[in-house]
Amino acid sequence: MTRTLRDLALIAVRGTSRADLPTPAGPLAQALSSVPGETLEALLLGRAALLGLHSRAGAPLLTAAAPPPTPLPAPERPLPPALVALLPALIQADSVLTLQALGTVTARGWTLNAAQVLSLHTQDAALAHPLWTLADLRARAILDLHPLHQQAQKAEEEARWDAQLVALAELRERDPAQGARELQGLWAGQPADRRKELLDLLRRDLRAEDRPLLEAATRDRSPEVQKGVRQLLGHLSGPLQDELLALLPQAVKVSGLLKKKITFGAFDLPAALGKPRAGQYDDSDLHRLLGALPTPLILKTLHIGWEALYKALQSQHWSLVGELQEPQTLAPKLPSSANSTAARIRLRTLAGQPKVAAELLEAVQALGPSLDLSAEPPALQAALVNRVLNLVQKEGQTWQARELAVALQRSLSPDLMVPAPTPLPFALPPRPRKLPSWQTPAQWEEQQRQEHAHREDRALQTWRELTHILRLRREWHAALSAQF
Amino acid sequence: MSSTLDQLTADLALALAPDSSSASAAQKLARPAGWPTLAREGDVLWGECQGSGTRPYLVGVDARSDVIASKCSCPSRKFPCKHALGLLLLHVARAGEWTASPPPPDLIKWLGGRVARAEKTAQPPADTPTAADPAAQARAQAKAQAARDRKRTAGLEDLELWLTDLVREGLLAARARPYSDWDQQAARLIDAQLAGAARQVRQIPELLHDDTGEALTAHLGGLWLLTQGWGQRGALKEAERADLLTALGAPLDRASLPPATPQVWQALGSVQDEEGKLNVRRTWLLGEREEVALLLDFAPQGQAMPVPLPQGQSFTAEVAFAPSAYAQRAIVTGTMEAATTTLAFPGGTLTDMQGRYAAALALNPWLGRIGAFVGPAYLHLDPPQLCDAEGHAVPLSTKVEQRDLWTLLARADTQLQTYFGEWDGQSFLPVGVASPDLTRADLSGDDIGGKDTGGDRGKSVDTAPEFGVLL
Repeated sequence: MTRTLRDLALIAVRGTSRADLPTPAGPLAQALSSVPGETLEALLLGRAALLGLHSRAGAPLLTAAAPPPTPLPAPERPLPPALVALLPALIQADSVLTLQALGTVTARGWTLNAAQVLSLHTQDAALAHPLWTLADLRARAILDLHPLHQQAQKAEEEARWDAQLVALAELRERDPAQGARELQGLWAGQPADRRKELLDLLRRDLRAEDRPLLEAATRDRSPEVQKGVRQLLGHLSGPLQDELLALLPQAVKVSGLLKKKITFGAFDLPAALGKPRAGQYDDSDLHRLLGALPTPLILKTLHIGWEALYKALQSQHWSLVGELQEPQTLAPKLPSSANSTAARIRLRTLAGQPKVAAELLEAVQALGPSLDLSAEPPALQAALVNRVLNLVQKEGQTWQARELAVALQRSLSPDLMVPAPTPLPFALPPRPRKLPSWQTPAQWEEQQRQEHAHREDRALQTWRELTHILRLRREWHAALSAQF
Repeated sequence: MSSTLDQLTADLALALAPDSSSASAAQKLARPAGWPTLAREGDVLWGECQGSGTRPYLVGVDARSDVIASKCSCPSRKFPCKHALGLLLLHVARAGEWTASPPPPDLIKWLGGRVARAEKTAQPPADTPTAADPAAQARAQAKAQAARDRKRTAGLEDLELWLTDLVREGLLAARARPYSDWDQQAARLIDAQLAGAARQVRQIPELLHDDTGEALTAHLGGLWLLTQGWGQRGALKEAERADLLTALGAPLDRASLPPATPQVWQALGSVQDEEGKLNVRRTWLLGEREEVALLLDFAPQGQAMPVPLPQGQSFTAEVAFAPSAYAQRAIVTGTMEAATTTLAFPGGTLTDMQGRYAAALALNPWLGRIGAFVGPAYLHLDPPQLCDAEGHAVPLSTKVEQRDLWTLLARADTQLQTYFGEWDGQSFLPVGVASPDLTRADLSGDDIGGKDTGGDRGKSVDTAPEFGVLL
């Protein structure tokens, strides 16, 4: 807006009854002087019209905030259009299949342009990292400041960290001394969240070589980490553990011979375990003491079983059980190939049985990483689908049925054709002896019919979802094959 | 032109949504698993959508005319509802198992009713004594025109007095006025058949609290110009008088438009806006002689508008310009035939654009915006700017959201583009974009290696299918 308009506006704001119009000046003086008007108001408004037009027509152009983008080479291997077209549908359908598809794209060296990356990221922001990995040079230049890049960097950093933890755990098994030194070196520079993760690593696999680190970390600036460190020191054999074991019977009183009665008494918490934080429901003297000793040692010292202690602690305060570790019964570890073969045999057996909800799911999940049913005979694959649909028809959309359906749609052969489920005839179940006061027998019967119809709808929906995913996978494979 | 349904894209379907929540809900519903039945018979789609109840909703979409109508047994009062939009999205994506079954009786009845109403509307008016006698008809029209003019004169004289009182009292005092004051003045202008002036009066409250008062002063000046223009209308040329009437809100007399010769046109994109209780869509066209035309569609809020022209679509049609000192608004007369020609975008600098706008305002001072090409050019993220090859920049419209800007930047793929958009003297609203390459750059990233072919004339491309209807 020009200065002239500003001056005019000042008059307009105050009102012509209180101020006079300024004499036109500047480059527009002549034009403003020629504006007709018999009253001050007419002159003001007429000049305002002229100045408004002038302002709109002649606003000065700005200077570009940045030079034009740097030209970058075009991508060498852009993802073929046929595959690009299928990605949105895959993302909408199944995140695991999407990651597999993106993995295939990465393995084949294809890239995505900025528009594709952005479009797919809009569909599912959790794909930031894999999408950034696939972005071509131009896309990375364009989207450098986009939140997607930051998300990808964060995901990459977390993946690196997880890999570092895994490597550290392996090193601790191979060379405990070196592992302890590495962990100690890593500890100092980490934020509190990462130190908690390192503490969890120690908790899972505590060794005598970790004592120097724990002793140095007793004054950690995070109260939670500090508590964990002090407690872990009690897990190592030594004077502190002896002191805590001597204190234990005073804190946890066990009486009775056959039927144990467990009560909790007052005691003085050793200074080495620090002071519980005031106001924290899960931090008390008893919390600190229980967490500072290995659970098997507690049970052995008190001569009680896990169940009894668990029950007593839960009655005292539900958060106390969080300080203990439930003893694990180790099953004999079979070689993975033997596991997989046994799981497949069990699956084939169960596929032929009518009522197998939870067992079938366990059998499918037991296949673990080798969950690929596409090589199984088509009859078995179809039988599995029919079992799942039958399950939904009879029991409704339970979580087992949902998990099974998802597992099947990811692992069955994409060429499998499964007919729609045959609706089951409605059979009225035996009526309960006593119905709720608000429900008549006729209403109860109607409710049974509606629930039956609902289950049939759900079964049909499950079938539609399954066939849709199989079709998507089929199209994806076909599009991939067509590229070679 | 082929069937409306066959030309429909996902973005065109979503453009029919009455609001953004319907569009989002429709996308969630566009999963085949939730539709026990999907069928198409000719230009009619129908299906059953499983809701939370026991019975699925029966949904029908009638695309036998330019306006897509829908019917659904759901309780929503929006048209089209999310189920109808979901059905369209499924059809566009060719998702699900579609059959060729005829619609059920409920939908057949509705479809039949629509045909009957359309036939009734198309019938010529009943014979009246004046219809048979052209002279009597002309006298009746002149009488009606005179009555309208008297109303307008009275309304504008009242507006003139009102504006005078406003500036005499001072705009500071005006801030204390209740909103009803402005609404009442706008209502009086509506009664005086001055809808355009009423719209401008309704914009006053938004400008009241600007510290400097400059924007409001200029705005009041624009209203004053209307009153003075009406008083001098006898001295105006026909085209100038037509512009004045348009600014005052007089509807366009389509029948009086001069005939146009068929030529190839290309849809550049469209912008949807709200004006009071109306939704307005501005669709821009580029002609083979490089002229730019603006089509306007209106619909009450909550009701669907005709399907927008797909961005980049070429067609042959007669496009008649409305009388104006600066020809821009137009209507399509007759039928549209699909064309295969792709028209090149003319380029230009921001200085050129500003010059054209100034010239346009000089011809028609009530012109709100012009359509302008700028290229080669590029966008800047923060601050949001359109920048040209000369190093000049203009701010982007506040309607361009951050995510839209990212989409535009992504589609440019570090290459300079030619942008088409609306310029209103203050900000630029991108509507369409063309790569300087000769190929079509779509979502599949098919641009041929980004080779610069030189020059600033770009081929129009079907970029950013959601681009044209974002804003």
